[in-house]
Amino acid sequence: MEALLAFNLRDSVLVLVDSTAGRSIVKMKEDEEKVYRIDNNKLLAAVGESGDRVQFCEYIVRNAQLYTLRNNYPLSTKACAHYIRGELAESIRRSPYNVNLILAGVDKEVGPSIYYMDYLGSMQKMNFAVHGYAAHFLLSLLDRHYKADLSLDQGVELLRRCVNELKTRFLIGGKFKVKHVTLDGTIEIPLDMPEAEPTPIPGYHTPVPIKA
Amino acid sequence: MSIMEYNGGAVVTMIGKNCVAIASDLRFGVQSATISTNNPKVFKINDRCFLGLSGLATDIETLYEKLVFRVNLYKLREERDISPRVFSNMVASTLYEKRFGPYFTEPVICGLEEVDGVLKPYISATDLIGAPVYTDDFLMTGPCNPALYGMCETMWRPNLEPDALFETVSQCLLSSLDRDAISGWGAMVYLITPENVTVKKLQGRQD
Repeated sequence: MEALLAFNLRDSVLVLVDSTAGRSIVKMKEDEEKVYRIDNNKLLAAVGESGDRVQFCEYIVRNAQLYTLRNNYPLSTKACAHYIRGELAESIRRSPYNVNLILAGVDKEVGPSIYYMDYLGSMQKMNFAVHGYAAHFLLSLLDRHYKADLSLDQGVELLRRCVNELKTRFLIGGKFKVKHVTLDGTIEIPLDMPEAEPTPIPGYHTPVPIKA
Repeated sequence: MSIMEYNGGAVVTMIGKNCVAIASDLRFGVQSATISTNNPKVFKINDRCFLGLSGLATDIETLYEKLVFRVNLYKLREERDISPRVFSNMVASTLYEKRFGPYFTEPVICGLEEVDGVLKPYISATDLIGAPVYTDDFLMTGPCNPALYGMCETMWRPNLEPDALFETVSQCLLSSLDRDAISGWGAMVYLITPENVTVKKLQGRQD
């Protein structure tokens, strides 16, 4: 099950998404791109059925770019979120797209914003949001450690904490990609997780005599 | 697991003396998981008319957008604000249009209706396919219904002054939210009088 997490920093947004592409028990690919760049300051991150994800996100990205071409003016993050929600809400009663999304964007007047959307078309504007099984592990962690105006370094530190938690307690592991959305553009940040020295376990790392 | 109880929520409205109050909880969840704690379910249509929606969150948003669209057209055509009674009818017919594939939301409408030049309080509610009910005491919607019925039946009296009405609605809602697992995380209360509209955010049990 795929993990998707995003939170607001002081004036930008960090998005963490896993990059595993798999089917049933097989991991096919570990560098799958699940984040779509809508324009210079908006990212659409999606998890769910892979076919639906690709079809829906490409459709949204192209329509958003068409709007910019037609009107010589890009969609605001709020307008884009409402547009996506409308498409999801219409599709749920016709041919449902099984994708859960987070739209992350930075606007000049509003600042950073995150819109959490699920496959039914429910939408919430939030400070931090998590999709998938990861939500069960990470929402409480973010409740505790997230603050309103984090810097980039503090944000990445918080992301490392989250990834550590998933690596420790979540059954399904894999690689993650981190994207940073600012007013000037979007870049990918390496997570650089330091490999922790495991605590030596007697019987696993060191021999233990079998008692008679 | 009923589709109406997927996201949780509670809305209640009460009539007082020349005033109405409408209140909702703030939780947005997916079954047992709470996603957001800032999701009020009361929407302003105009100064004299408010709409409360509970049920499936996506349909709440869709229905609200549809109704705002129709209210805006009404205002452009009629060159006046829509009254609560007419709006209530509009809600009922909008819902019945989807009789065999309904929006999973049950609205509550409240406001001040002008009758012979005097503003009278008005409340009404419909079910998910638009069957309306009009009363002169209180109405509620959402999975928190049973608890709310008990509280409101006990606490409500006719002709409550605005302050007393506000207290009554708040206490009824907060106590009922404590008895429903999928509603809560505080409340938002709107008190509508002929002079103004007051909004207050209540801090309840944060669970």
